[in-house]
Amino acid sequence: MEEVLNLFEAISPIFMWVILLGLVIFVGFISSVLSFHWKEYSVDAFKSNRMFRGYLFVSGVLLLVMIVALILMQS
Amino acid sequence: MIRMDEGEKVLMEIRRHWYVLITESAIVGTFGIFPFFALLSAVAFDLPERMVYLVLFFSVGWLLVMWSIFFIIWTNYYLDVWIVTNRRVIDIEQFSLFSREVSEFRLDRVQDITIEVKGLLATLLKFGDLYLQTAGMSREFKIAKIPNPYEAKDFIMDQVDKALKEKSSPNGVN
Repeated sequence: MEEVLNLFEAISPIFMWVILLGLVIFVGFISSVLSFHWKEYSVDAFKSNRMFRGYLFVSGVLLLVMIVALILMQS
Repeated sequence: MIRMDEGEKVLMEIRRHWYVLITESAIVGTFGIFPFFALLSAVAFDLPERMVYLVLFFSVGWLLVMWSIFFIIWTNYYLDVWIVTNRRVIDIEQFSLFSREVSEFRLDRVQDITIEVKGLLATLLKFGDLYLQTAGMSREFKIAKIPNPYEAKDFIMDQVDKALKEKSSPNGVN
């Protein structure tokens, strides 16, 4: 357990910001691909927008929690 | 957006049974539980505050990836649909994010519809495959594991009858 804790302690904050950036790019890519699908292949624009916004909202909240956790960890 | 002709109305959208969504997202759901265990363990082991934030960071990151995968599965499920209008059936087959097939056929060209309910689970949960054969086309249209296939078949047959009547009437629009 102690070894695992030491390993985590050794993780550089820059590495964590890189992971966060990677996830932002990942979500951006998935969002752009999915938005194309929801626009092109649905019959109900209202429902499609609502579902896609739901995805973006939850992803945004999770990314925000990650940023807060990172800031609190470094403070 | 799928374009509708003037006077064309969407009457029914046929999607696969919720059982399909559950089975496809079961693995994601299982992996999605891990972060909660990690967080609970971090609190239970009374780790230093910094470590708890670290565990929170990675847990939420993991959850974000699982959420995105689930949404891709949901998109594939939701957009894989048969849209029955008062004039035609649009078959959108979403194989994966970058692979899909869109075909359509007029209701008055439908020749026969076959239902296949196979297995105990399909019988209990009331889902099955629907096959549709159209005139002049060698291929058969299929939508797998739809809920209440008998009702769907009856509904499509009613619409086919209406389309045929409309076509044969002297002032039919088709």
